[in-house]
Amino acid sequence: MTPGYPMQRRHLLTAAAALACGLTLASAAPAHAQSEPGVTATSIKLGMSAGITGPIAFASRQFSSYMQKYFDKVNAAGGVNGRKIELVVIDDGGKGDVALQNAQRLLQQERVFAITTIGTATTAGILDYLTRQNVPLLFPGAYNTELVNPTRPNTFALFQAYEGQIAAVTRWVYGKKGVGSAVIVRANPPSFDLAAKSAAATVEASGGKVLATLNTSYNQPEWASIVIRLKELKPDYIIVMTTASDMGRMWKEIAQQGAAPPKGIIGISPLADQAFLDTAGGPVPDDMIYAAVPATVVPTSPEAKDARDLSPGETMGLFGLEGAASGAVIVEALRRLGADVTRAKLTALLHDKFEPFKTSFMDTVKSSPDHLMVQSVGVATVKSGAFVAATTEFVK
Amino acid sequence: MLLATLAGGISLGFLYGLVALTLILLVRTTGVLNFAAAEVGMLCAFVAFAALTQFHLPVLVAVAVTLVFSGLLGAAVYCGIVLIRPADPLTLSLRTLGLLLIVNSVAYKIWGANSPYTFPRILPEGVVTISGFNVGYVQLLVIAFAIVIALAVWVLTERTRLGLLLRAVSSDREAAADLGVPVVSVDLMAWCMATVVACCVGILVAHLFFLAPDMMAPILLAGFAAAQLGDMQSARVALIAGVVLGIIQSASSVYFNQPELSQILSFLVLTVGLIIRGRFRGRVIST
Repeated sequence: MTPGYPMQRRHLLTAAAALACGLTLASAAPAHAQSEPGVTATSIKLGMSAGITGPIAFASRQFSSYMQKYFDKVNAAGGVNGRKIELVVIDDGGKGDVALQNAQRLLQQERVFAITTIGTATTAGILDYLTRQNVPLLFPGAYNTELVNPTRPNTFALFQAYEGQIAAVTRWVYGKKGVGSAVIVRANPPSFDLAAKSAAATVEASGGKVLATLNTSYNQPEWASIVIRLKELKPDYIIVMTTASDMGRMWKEIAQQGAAPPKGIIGISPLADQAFLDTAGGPVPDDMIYAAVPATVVPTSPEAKDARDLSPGETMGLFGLEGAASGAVIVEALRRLGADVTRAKLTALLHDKFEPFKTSFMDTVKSSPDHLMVQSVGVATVKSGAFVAATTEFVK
Repeated sequence: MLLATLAGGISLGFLYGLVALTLILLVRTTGVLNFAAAEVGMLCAFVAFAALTQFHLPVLVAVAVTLVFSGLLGAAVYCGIVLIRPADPLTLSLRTLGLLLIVNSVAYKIWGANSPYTFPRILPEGVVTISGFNVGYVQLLVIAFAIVIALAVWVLTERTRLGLLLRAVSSDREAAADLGVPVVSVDLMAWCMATVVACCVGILVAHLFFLAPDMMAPILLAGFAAAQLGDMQSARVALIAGVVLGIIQSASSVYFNQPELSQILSFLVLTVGLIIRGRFRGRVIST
């Protein structure tokens, strides 16, 4: 061992320690943001659990693909404050338990910054988990009342729950076409319990009478037994809440049995989806259908052109437009955050600092104490076999 | 409302009876309970759907292509799960359970994403009013087809040489083979026929309701119950049992307003029917 060696070793150790400190400081400084899961200097990773297969596949595919296309457009223009948005979509088959596994995978393996979903039942499956993890759940394509009631610190909704939708559209239709009796036809999942109560309360409050509430199941094959009851009860209105294709099959049976209600059929947002008309098969008379369109305009209206242009060769349904709308608000929120993207800052912004934001294809979005950031719905009707806006205004 | 419920229940019940007949056809001729019969029908309905909507074939050509496909599929299924390793009917029945899962999974993988689909209108639209209930032409066709198939099964198995051979093979394969019956050919014929009938049922169900990988699930259960009540042998009893089930389900939905009850009722009718039949048989034997 040479006499100088210990000295050299001390220098080396000192230099190494200095280098380590320097590196630590260097990595810590710019990157308060980089330590946030899913956020790097060049990207922000978001996750989505969606029923790409299963009973809500059509809606899920539209929602996820239009959100992705919106992000693609933003990324092509340089991203959000220099960061590209990456969306990781995992199929849950429309099942709540799988959605929960997906959420765990998105957080633990994919390490996403925030999560969004499509599907009312599947979103219910992951709400509590995301709340416990304090991970932002952003503008899911879901209509659960549990999203905003009670208010969750991490959860922000864009679309009215079914009970709000049906109350708003029923009130508007009763104002326009007159008071009358109604039969409520509902699918049996508990997610429709509140909506059925809300519809009944709105009818009664408007001076009408609920003659009966008829229960159905998802993908109900035969509708004759329901329509036999409808023929017997002879309501002025039918208020319906189930899937788009089930409502289409119901209309088909109503048409076959000559049991159309004199004043119209009122429904929740799936009634405004193209899948309803596709399944109905035959013609649906003008001004027969009135469907709630939460937050956005009717997909076929001129105001929705920007969203339709995201995929010019495709027919955009309601859920496609909702996907684009959710994507637009996510982008705007991230843009307003600036360079320092953290979950805490995002939830603080959305909670009470998100100033009104407006695009052509949806109503004004802004912070609200209950975290429902658009409180209104549009109303769609069918004219000449296609969906059009029944009113140019958003109703509450 | 009662008469309308009856009319609606009868038209639904014949569909159950038709599904029961597809099961009985193979049990009577080979002894195998084909759990996958309904799923194979669903698969064929998707083939017809593709022929009509993707290849834009004329209706008759599309139906003919699908029927040929179903015959070949029946032959392939026979070769794949029976001929490859012959076994007793119980083992073969269990193999069809595996086939059910495979067909269902494949269908979900290929078509699950955008289901349910609306099947193109290939049959004439229109209705006949019975007791205030409008029965569609397609529903009438289901009733007519069910009766024709029931008669055909009876004639085939009781009044033809092929039927005699089928029953001989079903009763005792080895003895039949020793007597010169071409066992493989007879079996093959039975599987092909059963699959063609299942194909027709699949297309009718898709036309009546919707096209989806799970479209046969609620109907299969009721059809199975009807077939069981017919002891897996009697086409006539199965058809009647199917109609009774249809009426009970329709009435339960109309009067009790509980759609879930229809599945429970299928089981209930099956259980009660089997108990009554067992007691009746016991009495006959003791007499």
